[in-house]
Amino acid sequence: MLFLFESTHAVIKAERICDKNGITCKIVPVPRSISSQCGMGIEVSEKQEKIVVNILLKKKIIYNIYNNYKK
Amino acid sequence: MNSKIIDARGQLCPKPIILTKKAINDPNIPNEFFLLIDNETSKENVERFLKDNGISHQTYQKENYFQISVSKTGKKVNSSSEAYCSISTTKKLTADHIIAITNDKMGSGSNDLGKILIQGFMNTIKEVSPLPQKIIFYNNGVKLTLKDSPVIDSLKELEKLGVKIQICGTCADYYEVKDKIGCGKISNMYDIIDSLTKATHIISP
Repeated sequence: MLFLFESTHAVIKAERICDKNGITCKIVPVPRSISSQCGMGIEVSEKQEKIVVNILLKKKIIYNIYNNYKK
Repeated sequence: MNSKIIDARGQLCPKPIILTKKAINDPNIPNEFFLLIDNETSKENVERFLKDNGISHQTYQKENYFQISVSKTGKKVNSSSEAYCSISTTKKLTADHIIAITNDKMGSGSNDLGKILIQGFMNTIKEVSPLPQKIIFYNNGVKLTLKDSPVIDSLKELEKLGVKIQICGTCADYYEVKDKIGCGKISNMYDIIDSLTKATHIISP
């Protein structure tokens, strides 16, 4: 599951939150199939998607979720 | 469109060459046909096969495959398909370049941004072909090789793919993290200079 955010600052925030909550996340560049612009996203396992969504909602961090994307 | 398409995507050598040879020798296939291939090795082998047989062709890079347009000469082709695959079996997955990681951040400026960038970098190395021969970590860079590093899984995966991971022993000792290293091999300045000297080029993000 790939989470994309509105800004790099949001990515940094989200990564910190995941880390604090013991969620394994992987910082990855935004796939070229999604955007040609330079950006970073967070990859988490499908199992952890709900937990991450809940935390992000609580912290009011806006995100988009992508699944089955081409790298 | 009467141009016939031969789809060899998902096929490994010698299959794409066998299909190419068949198409050339089959009078039912038009003189101009397209060949679709999705791996670099097969593409190169087919190109060599066509060139050696004097068949003109042109390769186009599509989004995730190659399209080779072939123009038949009318002559039948007899060369063995397998002969063109011998090189591919010995071809290395890794190239001769080296990545030298000297910090646990990428670039200079914001530390927070630098940390995110280096993670994005390390997690993406395996997606880009060819892989580096080695990744060398020194000074602050060694911190990325620790068991609790955010990129440890990617490094382990790279190791499995044949990429050697060299870690500066002096640095690991200085930061007192020798017993926390989670991948690769501790090496010394001789090994590091030897690797850097022999590399075709060095990438330092």
